[in-house]
Amino acid sequence: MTDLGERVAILRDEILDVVAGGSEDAPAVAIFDAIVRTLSAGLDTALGLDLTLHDAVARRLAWGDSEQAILDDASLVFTRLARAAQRALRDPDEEMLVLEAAADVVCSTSRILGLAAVGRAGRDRAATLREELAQRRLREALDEQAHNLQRLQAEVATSDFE
Amino acid sequence: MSLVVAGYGDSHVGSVRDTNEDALIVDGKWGLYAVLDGMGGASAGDVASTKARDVIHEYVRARRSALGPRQLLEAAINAASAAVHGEAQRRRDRRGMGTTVVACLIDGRRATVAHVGDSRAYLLRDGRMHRLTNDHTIVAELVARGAIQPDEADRHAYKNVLSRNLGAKATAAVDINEIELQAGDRLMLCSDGLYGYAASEAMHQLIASTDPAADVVRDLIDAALRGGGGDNVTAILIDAGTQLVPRATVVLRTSGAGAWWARRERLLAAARAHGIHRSPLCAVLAPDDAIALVAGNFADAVYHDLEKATSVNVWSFAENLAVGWLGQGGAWLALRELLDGLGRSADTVIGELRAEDPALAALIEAALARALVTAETAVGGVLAQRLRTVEAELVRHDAARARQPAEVTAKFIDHPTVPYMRAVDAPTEAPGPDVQHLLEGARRRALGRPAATSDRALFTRALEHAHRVATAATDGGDAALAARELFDVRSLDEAGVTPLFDALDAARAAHVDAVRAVPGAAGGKVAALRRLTAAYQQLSSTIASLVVESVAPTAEALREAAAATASLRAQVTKNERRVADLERKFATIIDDGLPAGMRFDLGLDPPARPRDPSKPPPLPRRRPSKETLR
Amino acid sequence: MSGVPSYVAAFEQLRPQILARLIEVRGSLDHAIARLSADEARGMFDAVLHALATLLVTGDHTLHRGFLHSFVAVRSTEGVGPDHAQRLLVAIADTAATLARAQHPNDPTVALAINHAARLTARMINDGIAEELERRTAQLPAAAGGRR
Repeated sequence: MTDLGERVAILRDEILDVVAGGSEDAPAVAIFDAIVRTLSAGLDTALGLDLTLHDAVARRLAWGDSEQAILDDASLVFTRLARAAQRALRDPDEEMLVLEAAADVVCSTSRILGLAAVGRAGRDRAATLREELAQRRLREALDEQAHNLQRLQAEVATSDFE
Repeated sequence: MSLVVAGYGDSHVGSVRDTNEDALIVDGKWGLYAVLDGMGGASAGDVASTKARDVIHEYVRARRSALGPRQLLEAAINAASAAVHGEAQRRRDRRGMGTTVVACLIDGRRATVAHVGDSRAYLLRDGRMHRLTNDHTIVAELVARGAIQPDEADRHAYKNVLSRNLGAKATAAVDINEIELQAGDRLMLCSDGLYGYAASEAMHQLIASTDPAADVVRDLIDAALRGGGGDNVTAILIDAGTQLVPRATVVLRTSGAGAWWARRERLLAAARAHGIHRSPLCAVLAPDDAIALVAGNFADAVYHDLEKATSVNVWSFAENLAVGWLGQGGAWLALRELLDGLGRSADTVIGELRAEDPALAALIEAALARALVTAETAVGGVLAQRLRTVEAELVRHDAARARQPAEVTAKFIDHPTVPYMRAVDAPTEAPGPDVQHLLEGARRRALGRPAATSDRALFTRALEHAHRVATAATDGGDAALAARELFDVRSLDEAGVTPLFDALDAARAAHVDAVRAVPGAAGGKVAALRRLTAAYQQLSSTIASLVVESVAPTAEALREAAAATASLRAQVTKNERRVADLERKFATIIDDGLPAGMRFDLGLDPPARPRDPSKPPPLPRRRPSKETLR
Repeated sequence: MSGVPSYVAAFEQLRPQILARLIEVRGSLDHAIARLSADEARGMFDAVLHALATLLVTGDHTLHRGFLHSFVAVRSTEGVGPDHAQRLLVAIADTAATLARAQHPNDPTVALAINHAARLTARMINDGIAEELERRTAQLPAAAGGRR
């Protein structure tokens, strides 16, 4: 019997084409690949964080995809795959394995994105405080400039110095 | 005319890691040099870097005469990526392994530099260090796009995530750079274990010295280890031809260093006369010991730097002084006065030498002036690092204040902000009676099992909500309501959000196991699992959406703060132009009014009076005067 | 310019060359500058060279300090810390001193004056960092005490 992951991989074009308009850059690609990886590795491994999935999601966020866009893609991948698996797999046990793997991955993705959002909020708060510190420096520089401008204007006006 | 090229490289495991996952190639015969930094758990990084190294080395040797340098390096690196990728697919414990590479192929006077990842190449030419590679990391690419500030890069959550490496795919996108070498050029290839831990100023000083490559590589690795050594460190130095050393430098390294060493005791005497031993930094030392330790070490550092035509020893001296003194709470003013005292002591020695050999004295004076600039920047680095630490502490306190439970007052369920789940498909009908029965059985069985999470109550609520969503005819609305009830009131940080996802995961695992275990037909179980997994997917996704929406105001606050900063900055820039215009007029007035022969003597004035932030800035008190110095 | 020390006039004459060299090697001065356009970099370098020239002519530390505070404050909004700004200014002075030595091999006063100006610049920035460090450290107890 061929690897279940390989057989699900065959459904790639069908699922990703519908979801992502065929783009190889869509977040859905990373999620689908993670599901295939999970099936190939076997679900007997402990529930751990898939670092490749984590990195792939991190990259999507870094490139500017919103958390919601990735969540939407994950939902659609799950729904399409569940439907395709129901149609394509005859063995109920295999279909259940696919559903479990898909649920593992999309729930992991939700966790990654939720934590990414709180992490981002923390960084934004810190960045806001740093902006306020920078504003203070700029206000002090403005005070000093005002002092020097006043001085220089007076000096140039009188053309006299000690 | 061709250059004689010679390279030397070395690698060290570092102070923290157990294994060295770096690899290197130093092959002068084929003109091939490379540094590779492997990654992946359980020694997979070691496998990746050595595999890639061997493939690249063999590929270049086999096809050197058939391909041009650019095509050769690109093809060799792609072959290595395919090999690492293939190995990663074959074994489960090597999945995800990969490696960076920075490689240099020398062909006559042409150097071709190719890289993938965050190992770097530098060129030292005419005393200036040029970085030849851009890091293939997410944060580097975000900084390049202006999406984040350089200062944020070190603190970014994804600062260690590569955007490219060998092994992730069968092929790699390789960046290639070609340069024409000049006599005296020095190339360096290194892993991030070097530049991540050795100060860039120290690296520059070491590479710019005229020491042999082997000594410099050893010193560079030492600098990284002293900086923490938290990663494997690898460096290769390639010298192109003999360095053209200016005559003045030759004189300094020989006569200059000798003249300075001959006056060491004179310097110590001058230091005593200037009261170095009375500095607060020397309070615990006897006067003779203070002079020997502080002024003596300063004299030795200057001597070694004159001898090697570098400033790295004065840099280390000043940095150690600053770290030691400021680290124990010492005041900046005391350190400042000590540096001034050392500068004046050196001036005394140079003044005496000027009477004997004005030309040599001028050379030493210039070298010392530059060395003292280095001392100030070394101290500046320490001061700035302390400032960053304090600011980070202030930020932490601010963040902790923001997390206070008292600030979380509203229940999400009372203030629905997340739209109901979009109707992805047509509404689902309620399950048939046999599936309903299976789901009910699974629910009871799952509830009866121990929860693999510390919060049993949350586990139970998650399981019950998932069951309700799975058994309802729904367009997603039930999942949205259930998600809000589960989210309840909690702090928007990792400590508040993680237990919720943990409870959902534990509930899902228990629930799925229960479906498998409950008696029933296979077809019914599959149908039950379809509904259940869909329910958990909707719940977790909606909760993540809730979190995202809840943190949106912090992003808005940042945007507003950034806009205010930009406005202030524009004002400062505009005012700076006005000041510059008036300065030109002011300078012209001074030029015309100068008595002939007046000498400007730039020195160091007393410190500015510390500003009391509770008081307004001082009003102009006097007209400007020429601040000539004693 | 009457009565002005020779190194002042020499520096003014060298300024266009120094500026051109700075623009040429800007990537090696600071990686962040490599991202600026030549025009933006020219504007910044010109302002720094002007400040150095003003210091050499007038000896006015107050003006120079004011310039440095503005320079460091503006750089901080670009995510560049005060020590990085300091190293950038020193690197600019180094470039100027190198050119001065090459153009005036028999007159060390030009390069020496630039080195002294660089040392004064680095010192003033250290004074600024130390002052800010003192202020921020004084804020810590209140910030920590604001927590429940």
